[in-house]
Amino acid sequence: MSRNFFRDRRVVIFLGLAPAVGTLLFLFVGPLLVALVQSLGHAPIYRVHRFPTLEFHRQVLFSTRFRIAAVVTLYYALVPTFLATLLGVALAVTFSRRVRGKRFLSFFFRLPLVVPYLVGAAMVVALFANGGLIARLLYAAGLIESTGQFPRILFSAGGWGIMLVYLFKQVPFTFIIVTAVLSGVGPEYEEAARTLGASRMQAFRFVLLPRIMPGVVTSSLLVFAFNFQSYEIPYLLGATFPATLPVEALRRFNVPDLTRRPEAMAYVVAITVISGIVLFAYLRLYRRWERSRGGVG
Amino acid sequence: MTDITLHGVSKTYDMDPVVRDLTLHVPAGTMFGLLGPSGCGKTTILRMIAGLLEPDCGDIAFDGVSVLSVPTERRRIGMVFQQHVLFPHMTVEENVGFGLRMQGVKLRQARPRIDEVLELVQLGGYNRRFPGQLSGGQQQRVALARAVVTDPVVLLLDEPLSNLDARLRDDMRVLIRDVQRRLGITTIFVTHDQAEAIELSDRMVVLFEGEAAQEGPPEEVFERPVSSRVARFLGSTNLIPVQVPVYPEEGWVDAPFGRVAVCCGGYAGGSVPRELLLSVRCEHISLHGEDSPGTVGSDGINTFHGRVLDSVFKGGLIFYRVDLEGFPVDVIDRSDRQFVPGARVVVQLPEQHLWVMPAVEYDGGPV
Repeated sequence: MSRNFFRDRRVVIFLGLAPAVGTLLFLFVGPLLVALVQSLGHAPIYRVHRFPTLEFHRQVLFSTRFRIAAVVTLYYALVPTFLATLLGVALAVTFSRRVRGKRFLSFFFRLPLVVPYLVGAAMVVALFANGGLIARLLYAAGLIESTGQFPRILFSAGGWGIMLVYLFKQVPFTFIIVTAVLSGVGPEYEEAARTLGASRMQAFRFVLLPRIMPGVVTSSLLVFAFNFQSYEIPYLLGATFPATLPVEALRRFNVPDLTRRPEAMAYVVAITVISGIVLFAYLRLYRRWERSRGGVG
Repeated sequence: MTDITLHGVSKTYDMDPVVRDLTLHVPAGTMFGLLGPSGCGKTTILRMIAGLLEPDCGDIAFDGVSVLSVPTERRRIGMVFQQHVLFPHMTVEENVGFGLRMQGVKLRQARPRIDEVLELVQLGGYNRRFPGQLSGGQQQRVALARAVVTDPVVLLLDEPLSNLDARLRDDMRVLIRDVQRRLGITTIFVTHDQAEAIELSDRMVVLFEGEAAQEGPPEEVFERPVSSRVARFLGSTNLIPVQVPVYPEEGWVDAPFGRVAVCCGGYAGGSVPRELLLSVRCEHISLHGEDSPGTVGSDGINTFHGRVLDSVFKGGLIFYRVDLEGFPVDVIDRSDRQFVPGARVVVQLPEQHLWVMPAVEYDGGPV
């Protein structure tokens, strides 16, 4: 092979991208294709030889359980995404100004990032369970007659426990991403807006927010994708029914009858498709808005 | 028109005093220059007037009324930043109309006014462009239009020309002066460029380490610096150590190269110190060939013989260094002929442009 071959720009780009693309194909696209093929009835390892059939998809998609799970999953994913974005952006904007104790507080707010989700779940249980710390404190203070009177936050259909863990981890995540974007924007845009008669809130709404939108969109996309597809926290802290789509998929994986495994695969495909549609629609809307603003955010 | 007063204003950043007990009066309708080297507190002063920074002590008043408790957005100011700071996601029209929008004026209603100020800054027809589609000079004009669209009572310009190339800077300088005169807004601008200060300002202050070293009309500051530090900062000035003669004669001082007649001095108080500095700007000194009879004043006052040490041609000007009895003097000459190094010349120091000041800060050598 001549030395010129390695000097070709296209070859250099290909070689640079190959490790990342290869990993993505191997770990993401490959398993997804396997799941799709199995959900369409080709799973010889489980003695399912009905390819091509949409029967497993039909079974899943037309069941009430799936529809409820889809709504619940979207709810558990969207609400914490919205709240984490709101709180993370508010924190980042506040800390972009001169705040007393900024260093310590900024470090403190980032701490949850180094704690695993499961530890977050354990902390939420220790704090918010009916026998948890807060219930006991309220009981000790005489505000409730027994710890059983403490409102049920965990293992309920409301999913407050799940959303608390998500917020515990995702507010700092959004804070870090938006802080990085804000440091690139600098304070002068807000100052310019204020010299033109904008209040702090107006300056944020009309000037700063459009400037940090790329960071806000990126962090919220990542947060939503994680929330929609994660199973461990809804599995640990969610109600038995209704459950989220990933939990329903996991339950079908654990069914002893292996011939039903394609059903679980149909769930996996559905989760990917729904998540993809939501993310695509969100990104599309953002790009349209960005184009209307001259391609700058 | 609004006048601005700063009274005993100080500001410290992390124990480092940036502005110290500054008292200034900016008369209504004037173009006022804050001139000083980097880090002397010029921008800090501007930001305090804008309300973007709070002074540690002292007062800032518009028309005699303190504005310290008035937030930036209600001070009715317009500000042009050094980096333009146009909002990149808004069109030119939206940028210029932003202040009006904050006053509750709809874009459609604001359009005539927006068009008017865009015409004022010679950018008519650029309404729908985005800042990224404009040159640096055009962006600065949009920033100026945006700052004046709401008819502010005070216009603040933070080094408005520093990011422009030489030709654009000249155009923009004329434009700023024109806009300020037409609108009659009290304007304060920050600059570290002496030429910019003298061309733009009606009055100016020279600042060092947060303190006002000299304030007045630009001609006065340039011609009659109060100290060698001001003179050196303004540049192109010779500082010549002189002494009052042992047997003082009214209006005469002894320079290293001979006796010089002077008409004015910048020392205060009754007693004149014996050690003084004579300041004369390089462009005010006349240079003649020794063999050019009739060109030097017949009375011979302030006329000295010297030798050219160096000459550099810079466009329409020639920069000389001339040795006068061992003392080097810098001269800027506009004439067509050029003296070569070693040429014998006659140097004339014009009495009306000589200025005597205390020698306290003098550390030797021409500037």
